[in-house]
Parts: sequence; structure tokens; C-alpha cells
Amino acid sequence: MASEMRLHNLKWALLTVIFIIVSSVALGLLARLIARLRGLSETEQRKIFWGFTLAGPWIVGFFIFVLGPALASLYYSFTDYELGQKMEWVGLDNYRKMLLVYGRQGRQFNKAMLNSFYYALIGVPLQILAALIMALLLNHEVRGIRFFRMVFYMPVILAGGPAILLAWRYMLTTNGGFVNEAMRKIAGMFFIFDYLYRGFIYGMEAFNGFYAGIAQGDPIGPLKYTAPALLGALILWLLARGEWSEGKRLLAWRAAQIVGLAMFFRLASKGLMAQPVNPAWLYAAGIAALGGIAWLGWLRHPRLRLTQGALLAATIALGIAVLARRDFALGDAETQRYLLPLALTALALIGAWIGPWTARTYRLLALFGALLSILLLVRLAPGQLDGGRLEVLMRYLTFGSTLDRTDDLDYLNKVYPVQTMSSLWFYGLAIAAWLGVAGLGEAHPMARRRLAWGGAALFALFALGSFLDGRAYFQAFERLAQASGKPNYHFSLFRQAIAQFPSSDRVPLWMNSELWSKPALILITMWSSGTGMLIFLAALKNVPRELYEAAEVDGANVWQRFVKITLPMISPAMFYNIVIGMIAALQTFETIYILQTPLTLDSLQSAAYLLYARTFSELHIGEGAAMSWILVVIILTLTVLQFRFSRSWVHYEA
Amino acid sequence: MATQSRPGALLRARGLQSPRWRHSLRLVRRVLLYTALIGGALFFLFPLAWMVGTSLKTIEEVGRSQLTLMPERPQWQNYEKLLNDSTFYRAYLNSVFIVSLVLLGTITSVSFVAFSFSRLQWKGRGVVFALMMSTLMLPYQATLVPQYVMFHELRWIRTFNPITIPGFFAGGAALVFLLRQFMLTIPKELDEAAMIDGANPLQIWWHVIMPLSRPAVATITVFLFVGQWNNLLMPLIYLQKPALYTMPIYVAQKLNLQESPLPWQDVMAASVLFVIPVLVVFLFTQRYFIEGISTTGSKG
Amino acid sequence: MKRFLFLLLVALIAFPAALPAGTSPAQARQEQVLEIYITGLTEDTMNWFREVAFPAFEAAHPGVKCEILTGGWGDFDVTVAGWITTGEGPDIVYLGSEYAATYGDLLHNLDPYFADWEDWGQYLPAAIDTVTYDGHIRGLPLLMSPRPIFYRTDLMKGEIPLTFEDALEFYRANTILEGGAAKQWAFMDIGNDLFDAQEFIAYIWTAGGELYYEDGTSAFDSEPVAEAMQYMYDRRRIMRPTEDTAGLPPFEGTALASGLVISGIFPMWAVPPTSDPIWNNVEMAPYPAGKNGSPLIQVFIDWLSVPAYVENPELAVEFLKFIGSKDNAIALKQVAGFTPTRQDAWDEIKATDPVWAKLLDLTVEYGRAFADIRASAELRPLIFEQMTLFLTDQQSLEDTQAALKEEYDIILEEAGYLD
Repeated sequence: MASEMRLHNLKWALLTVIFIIVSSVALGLLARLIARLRGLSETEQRKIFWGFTLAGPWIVGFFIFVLGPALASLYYSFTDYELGQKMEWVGLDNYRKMLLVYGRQGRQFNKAMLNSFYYALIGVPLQILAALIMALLLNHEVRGIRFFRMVFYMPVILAGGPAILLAWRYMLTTNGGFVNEAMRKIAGMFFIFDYLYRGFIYGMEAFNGFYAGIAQGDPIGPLKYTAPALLGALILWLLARGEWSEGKRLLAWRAAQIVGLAMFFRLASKGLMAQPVNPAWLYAAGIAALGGIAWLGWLRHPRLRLTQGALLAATIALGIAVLARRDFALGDAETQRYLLPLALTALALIGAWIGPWTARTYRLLALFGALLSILLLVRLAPGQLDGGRLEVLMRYLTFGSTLDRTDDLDYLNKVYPVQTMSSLWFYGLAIAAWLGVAGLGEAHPMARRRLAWGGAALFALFALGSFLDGRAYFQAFERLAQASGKPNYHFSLFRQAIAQFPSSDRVPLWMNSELWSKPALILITMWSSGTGMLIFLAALKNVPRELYEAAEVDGANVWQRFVKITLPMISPAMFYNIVIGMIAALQTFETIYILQTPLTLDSLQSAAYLLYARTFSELHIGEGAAMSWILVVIILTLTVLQFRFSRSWVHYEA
Repeated sequence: MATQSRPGALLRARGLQSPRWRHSLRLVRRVLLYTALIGGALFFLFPLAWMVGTSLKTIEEVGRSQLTLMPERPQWQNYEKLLNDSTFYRAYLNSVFIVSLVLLGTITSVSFVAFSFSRLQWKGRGVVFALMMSTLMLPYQATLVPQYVMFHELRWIRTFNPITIPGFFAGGAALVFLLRQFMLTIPKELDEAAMIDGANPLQIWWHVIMPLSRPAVATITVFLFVGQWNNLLMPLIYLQKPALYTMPIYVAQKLNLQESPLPWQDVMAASVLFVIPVLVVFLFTQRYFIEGISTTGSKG
Repeated sequence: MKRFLFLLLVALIAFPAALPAGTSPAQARQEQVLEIYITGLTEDTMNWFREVAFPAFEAAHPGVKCEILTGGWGDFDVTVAGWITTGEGPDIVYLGSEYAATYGDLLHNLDPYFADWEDWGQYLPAAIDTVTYDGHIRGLPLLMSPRPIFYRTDLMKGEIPLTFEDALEFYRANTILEGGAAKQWAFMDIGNDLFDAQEFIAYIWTAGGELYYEDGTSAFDSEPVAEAMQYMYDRRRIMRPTEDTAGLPPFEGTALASGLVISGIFPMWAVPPTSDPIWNNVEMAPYPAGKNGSPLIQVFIDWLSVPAYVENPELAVEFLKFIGSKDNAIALKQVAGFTPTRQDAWDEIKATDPVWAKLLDLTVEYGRAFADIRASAELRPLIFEQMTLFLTDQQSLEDTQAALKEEYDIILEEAGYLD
């Protein structure tokens, strides 16, 4: 049976080889023919023939195994394809489920993304720290170092397979498993260890309980402002202190870019998926198109006309797509709301495309752009910019609270999260402040310093105010629950975890509880972080020795040398590791397959695992394909960021 | 800043930079370094040791104490049981077969493609290479499902083909990239000289470039071997037939046994036999491997 | 060196390719292979198939070779759904109790093949219902697994409870917690997590409820469901007062014999053999019931089906008839610990084994088959998600019920059950 299959497989392998040779040579001949028709020289033709023929296996494979399937899956993502059933076009419905968190699929996808975010936020830094420490240890040329390098790297080759993961699963048995037993023994040796261990359990359970609450979608109240305020304050503080440098300008730019991009994704995924689409998005698209053209024209960019054409086509396509979703009737006031921005943009674009490119066109474009911007603000204002929402800013500056009523569960649970200002405004404010500081730069040192310090202070105030307010918010739930005698479902796992310091026989529950499943996975990824270690090692080897010697002569100690020389020199490797780690966090599969239990699957699974389950277990291929394309967009963005940023990082260090 | 650099200055001022002081300082450092290294090595080796230890226990010992690493009397019959199991043999042979075929097909085709991308100058190379690099960003999930549908149409489900055949098409842009990076470092003069002697690109590939690329080829071989040997997802999706099962499925399925308590000693024995080839390959090639990454890693 | 490595590689490929696996290729080509997929049985049961049943069948049908495929319930949906929807897979597929409604017409209608099979009359009517879809037989009920609650009478305090109220009191009296970990549990469920989707459905039934209303929509918003949920919640809180309470310490052998567990739901293959003296101290009883319901025992009927993609079902049906014979039914009971679904096999069992006799009597009195679960592949994760939130205090009972109802209705509608 099996041996027959192997022969069958060998036969096909042989056929494949013949197919590859034939198709590669055909490809080479075709390329050569084209080269001849284009009048290239004989040697050029020969080179093209050999080049295409030898690269042929990959090019042929690309069409069969990458391009074809990728296009097919893109198509599936707009259908309700289920294996064995007829497929129907459903437009954006699949994407809407995932991005707007509709139904169980949406919730599960949202949870999976939050799990991946957890791995990226907690797991990746820990993994990188482990890798860095390992690399620093291994960067000594001492006897036996080869052996240690080998041992430190070894987990990487094992961790991809099921065997060692099974061993981990066994070692992580909750009650009586090796890890817990050993930790308990160590903790029992000395009372300080015991307190440390219990403190660790307490901290982990509190944090993971809090995260579980967020993943579950419990409102966090005023705490939603704390993170952006802290981030804004932190970066402004970094920009404010010490001398101004090119590195700081880059920091401000990069921070603004990353946060801006994240904001854009969030807004776009919500806004463009909504049904019906808010016309404000059409205004924004129009402004972006006009701005792009004006900018390119200002630069006198050679591909201007091409871009213009593409933008024009894209705007019209967008318009058709949006309008097609509605019952189109010119007299309808609703339709006119959509037509206005489209018409304005299209008019401006057509004008710019046809007419000669002069200073007057710029002005006209700018005029249209301004008009659209005003309309956009008007469109947005009733929802977001009224006094009640903006008051948040004022209240925190005067140490007030934004909670109007703390004795009404419905207000706390439902009304407050909707009626208050979105935290995105805080991110926007932070971005504006960073860009302001960067723009003032060297030219206006006084103004820059004032803006940076003032901004940092202001944001710190927001952070403190919102944190205190958030605490009051959490306490309000507790009071209400006690008064009514009902259980408190708001962040219940977190509340349970912080209620009591663990007694001395408590153990981590690993795969038996969603409070510990993610840390278990992170522990295993830390154990196998050897790839990052090697990349750090390579980077460390490239740091010129002279730099250290010079620093030593200057009397710098080990820590200073590390911070001032090593860290900056290996920052490209660091960034590379971070991005690779994040992408891996989205794609974890084997570990989850082996570790999961029915109870912890939801709190453990990555987007890639969910995708596998959804397509191959529930056979919803359409939804699976939509998930995969959301993943593709995220991973592509991360990779592009990695390429762009690593270039600039290397530049400014060199 | 200024105050922090004081200790060094102080040391110098007090004459503590004497050779003896330096010597003992170095000794202390070395002891600390080795302690950390050995501690790390224990941490990294432990799960492996635990696996071996458990595989030699009796089921009672597995249920009882979790703190003893090695049992008093090693139970070799745990292994004997496996070696007498024909399904185990079959899975092992299948794995060896698949991995060998994938290695042969992939390494050959990858080396052709990498050669073309690094040593040949042809119009359009930049575009094709950029295309290949861009596929690196495309996660495999994007093509997983349509590929399944495609193989289904080909009647290739429940055969080895979906796992082995794609490799022949220079599967894995990362491997091509690694090899190309290495081939770029080989001096240009070598193939120019061969070209003047009248060699065609195929001859240059075989006689000049491949012999010089041995470390890089070894590196990608190990990558590929480890990746294929451990591969669980693809066989899980495509093989669907016990006669075709590979070792990863065989091992992972031990977890599905409806037995309570789970016979961990059997699971671990199968796991030990599963990791041995990976460990052996790794031990023999790790020099190439780790150096290989150190040389190309800094550019990637 | 390089040439050597190359040769080695070639040898490695050629060797296993040519190596015969048991039979020579020439011989293999003449054989007709009958593939049988079996889910979640013990190693011993598999060996019985390989070493006893298959040789006997092969001897009776020259030129046929039987192959067994195995998987767990964890992979079940992925594997079987893949086969059935792509139309390529084994000849006989082992299905769980609830799958007739899920796969329906994707399985062969076996009426014509079983029409003249006189043994059919011996099968339990409930078992035949389980394998029937749209009025046609879709397979052979292979074995059944009644899952009563077992009680350790020598260790327990109090009487065996038959209502939710009494059960909670019983659990309170028999659970011992020390520090943050359990020392003794009054009850252990099959998944060891104090929550199981199938068990949840059983309590909905004992509370007097059903999964569906008359019109086919989900009844998750009904009063009995709320009662069952509250019962499971209270039970969990008795044995795990907080979510960070650790479970039982490891034990040797089965849970029932460990002495750490006072009562529990186990299939018969996860308890000590009935010859064990421990059975003098073990009592079996149905599940406790709610205010308006009555106690029952959940019965799982595993059955063998022939998917519609199998072109010649005759041979597969031959095998079904063979494996369903009285002798084989009794043999399977010995090795697998499952109850046969044909009643003529019971007499012998009852005569020789008092424990089984008791179990079979209880099954007749209280048994309810775990069947007619619609869109089960999607229902299970939904129940897991929502019940986990509820049981771990993250969501209120009302919200959980509403979510279950709303989403199950969507699933039912999408799967075409509501037309």
C-alpha cells in the first residue's frame, strides 16, 4: 500500500521534473523570442535565454502555486463558498464579519487578533530579551563556546515538531506536573522565594484576568485614554530631554507614522465596512486623492499622469461600489450626500488630468481640497466634535471626573462607552504634538522645547487623570454589585485574581485556565528563541572592536558601553527580530495544535489557527479566505515597515 | 553622564589596575560567565532530558512522582513495543522518503534559481527577483485553501504528491534568497574565466559555483530537512490515510488515545525516536548552520 | 564527499520506495483494500480489529485486505468533513451519535442492502433511530456507551441525589479543598474541566427542556436551559470556588478507583474491569433532574456509515454485517467496554456480569440517545465559547442564553434546517 504510493509518487516526481525542464526551456525560448523582436543583441538574447531557463522552475511554480491560488482565494473571500456547495457572491460580508466583530466568527477573530496582539506585546519583547541575553553570553570567545552555541540554538530545530511540544505539555501539567512541582520546591527552600513566586502568580493572574476582560469586550471606561496619554507623554519626554538630534526627528516621525497607520487601519476597517458607508469617507478619499496629485505635481514627478489616471479610476470605482450598494435615485437626499463628494473629486481630477499642469491647476486643486475638507468636518462634527465630548480634555486638566453617574449600571456599561470621546482623538493629538516638535526641529529650538515639555506635562496630566477616573469607574461596578447582591461580570476574572494574595500552595494553572494558557505558550517560544539569538550574534560580531576600546579608554563602564555602543549598533537586528516575532505571533500553529484544550482554545488560538479550523473543520472557505487576506494585509504592512525603517535606522547610525 | 564614568577614573587613580587585580577580576568574570552558560544549557536541554527520562518509566512512575528525571530501572520495553509496531515503521519510512525526495528536488531547483539570480546578468532579472522577494511577504495561509482545491481536482489528495511535488518548483523563496546571497560573495572573475574557456552556464553552475557554495547549501539543506521532518500541517491536511502517515502525525496522534491516564511513557518514547534524526543532522551540520546564519543573517 | 552525500540521498529515496510494506507490490495490486476509519477507541480495541476481526473477514472474502485508520475526536470534524465533502476517503466511516443529521444524504442509503438481513430485528429501536436520516438507514449501530453517574458508596457521605438540589448538597458534602487546590472532588466529568458540551445538553433534557422548539428554532432561551446552566454553574463553584483553584493531584489508574473522586460520569472503558472488587462499592445512577424533568442516562451510539462517494458499497455492507454479528458484538464488549446495540447479545452478558446487567437495566429504564443534534460541528464551539464565559463569571446567565439562542438560530438557518 505505502510502497505502491511511494512508487506512484516517484513517477509523478519524474513527470514533474520533465514538465519543469520542458516548461523552463520553453519559457527561456519565449523570452529569447521577445528579446529578438525587441531588437536586442545576440549576446543579450543568449543571456536572457539562460537566465529565464534557469530561473524557470521558480517562475513556473510561481504561477501554479502562488499567483493562481492567491487570486482564487481573493475571489473566494467575496463569496460564501463552502466545500461541496454552490458559491454565491456576498461582497464584503465576510470582511464585515471579521472587522466589525459580527457574530461568533467575528468575536473569535477579534479574540484571535487580541491573542496575537498579546503575544506581540508581551511575548515578543520577552523573546527578544532572552535572545539578546543569550547572544551577549555567547559572544565571548572562551573554551567550549561552540558547544554552548549549539545547545542554546538546539530548541529551535525541535520546537517546530510535535515531539518536544508534547514533552512541554506533559511538563506543564497543572497539578503535579514537573514545572509546578519544581517551582514549588524552589519556592519552599527560602521564604523570600516563596513570596516572589506567589507575587509572580498574583501579578500574572491579575494581568491576564484584565486582558481576558478586554478580550471579552468589557468596557474599560476612562482607562481607554490612559494608554494614548502615556504614550504621548513618554515620546514627548524623550524628545524634550537632552540635545536635539537627527535621531530624535526620526523617532518623532516614525512614532507618528506607526500610530497614524494603526489609526488609519482601525478607522478604515470600521468606516469602510459600515453599511451604509459614512459619506465622510468619500470626502476623505477625495482629499487624499487631490492631495496626492498636488504633492506629486509640486515635486514634478515623472509618473504624474499615470498616477492621476489611476486615482481617477480608483475614485470612480469607489463611487460605483458605494452607490451600487444603495438604491440609486438622483432625487433622493441620501444619494445626494454620496454624490456630492464624488462629483467634486471627480471634477477636480478630470480637470487636472485633461488640463495643462500649471500653477492655476494647483490653486484650483487646493480650493477643491479645502472645500472637501470643510464638508468633511461638517459631516463629522455632529457625531464627534460636540462640546460634551470635548469636555473630557477640560475635566482631566482640572482634576475632574468624566463619570456623570456612578450609581447606574446601564450608564456605566452601555452609555458611557458610547457617549464619550473616542480615544483615537488622543492618539491624533499625540501625533500632532510629535510632528509639531519634529517640524520645529533645529530651526526654532525655544518653541520646540516649550512644545515638547508642555505637551509632555499635559499628556502626563491626562494619563494621571484618566487613570484615577478609571479606578473610580471600576470601583463603581463593585459598589453597585454589592448593593444589588448580584455577581459582578465586569472584569470578573481580574477582580477574582486581585481579591486575594495567593496562598503558599497555589500553582499556575497553565493549560487548565485562560489566565495561564498564553504565558505557557510564551514560555515555550522563549525557550526556542535561538533564531533571534543568532541574528543578534551576527550583529554583535559586526560591531567594530575599536569602538569598545576607545570607550574603555574614556573610562566607560560595561553598562555604558552596552547602552551607548552595542544597543545602537545592533538596533537593525533588533527591529528585524521584532517584526519577525510579530509575524510569527500571527502564524503560530503547531504549538497551539498540541497545547490546546477545549477550554483554553479561545484564549490561545492565533489568527492562523482559527483560519485552519474555520476552513478545514467547519469548511467555511469564503470566511477563511477573507481572514487570510486580512492577515496578508497586516503582515505585508509589517514587512514594508521593517524594510523602510531598517534602512533609515542603518543610515542614521552609519 | 559625567559622574557615571567616575569608577573607571577612580580605579586608575588608586592603582587598582595592577596585573594581579585584573587577573582576579577576569577570573571572577569567567566563573560568572560559565555559571550563566551552564545554567542556560540546563534550561535548554531539560525538556529533551525529560522526554528521554519519561520514555523509560513505567506507567505507575509516570502517574506518581514528577520530580525524578530518570527511573530506577529503565523500561526499555517501551521502545521495544514501538519497534514491534508496524504502523510505526511505516510512518518512519514515509517520513524518510518524503523528506529525501523534497530535499533532492528542492535543493537542485533552488540552486539553479539562485544561480540564475546571482551569477547571470539578464534583462528582467531585477523584476523577477523583486517578484520572488515579494512572495516572501505573502503568508502561506493565502494560498492554502485554493491549493487544496487544486490538488483535489488533480486527484492528489491522499497521495504524497501535494507534499513532495511543490518542492521541485524551487519552493521557498527564503531558501533561494539565502543561497543567492551566498553566491553573490563568490568573486566574479571565476566564472568570467570559465566563460572565456567556453563553458556554458550549466557547466559553470556545476564546476565552479556549486563546489564553492557548499556551506550555504548545507545550511539550506538543514533548514529544509528540519522544516520537513517536523512538518505537521501539510501531511495533516493532505495525507488522510494511515498508510501514508508521517512521523509528526504518528506522534501527535498519540495524544488522541482515549485512555486515561494517558500513557505518557509511550508518547515520549515515540517522541524520542522522532527527534533523533533531527538531532543527528543538527549535530553534524550545526557548524555550517550556525556560521551560515551568522554570515548571511547580518545582511538579511 | 558531495558525491557520497548525493548517492546517499538517492539510496534513501530508492530504498523506502522499493521496500515492500508487508506485502509485495504485485500481490497488493490484486487485492481490494477496504478502509475503515475508527475514531477514539483504545489501543486494545484497535488491536482486536487488526488481529481478530480483520483476519476473519479477509479469510471469508479472499482478495480483500482491511486497513484501519484512526483519529481522535479532536480531529474528527476536520478529517471526516474533508472526506465527505471532497468525495474521497475511506469506505467505512465511524461516526458519533449525533452525526446522522449533520451528514444526511452524503451517506449511502443502505435500505436495499439491509432489506433481507434478518439480524436487523435484534437491534435496539433507539439505536436504529440514531442511524436513520430522512427515513432511510445510513449505517450500522456498532456499539453504545451508556454513561451513568458512578458513585463510590464506600467513600460518599449522604444519599445518591436525583434532583439538582440534592446533587448540589451532595457535592458540597463530599468535596475537600485545601489551600488553592482540590484534595477530593465530589464529581468529575468526562473532560475533567467540570464542563462538557454533551453533558450540558443532558441537563437541559433532565430539566425538562429540549434543544429545539416545534418550529425548529433554538430553545436556548427557555426556562429549563436556564435551570441547567445555573446547576452547572453552582456545581462548578462548589468544586472550584474561584477560577484559580487547581484541580486534583495526579493519580494512578482510573479516576473511579483513585479514591480522589466520589462520583463521576465515565464511559465503561475508563473504569476498572468489572471483575475488580471495587465494584462492590460502586453504584450507578441516572443524572439528577430539575424541577419539571426526570432523571436520565445519556447513551452514545457510535455507528459505522458508508459515505455516498463509495462506488461499490456492497463490500462495505458485507463488513458491516460481519462486524455486527452477535459473536463479534460480544467480543467487542469484552475488549472495548462498550455495550452491543443488539439485544440478543445481552442475555449472555447479563448472565455472566452483574455490573453490566445493572447497567443495561438502567439503560433501558433511563437511557436517552444523544441524537438529532443539528449542525453539531458548529454548535459545539458555540456552546464551549458561551458556557466558558458564563461558568467563569465573565457573562451573566441572561446574556449567555440570549447569545446562544441568537447565534444557534443563525447557524440553523444557514445550514438549511429552518426552511
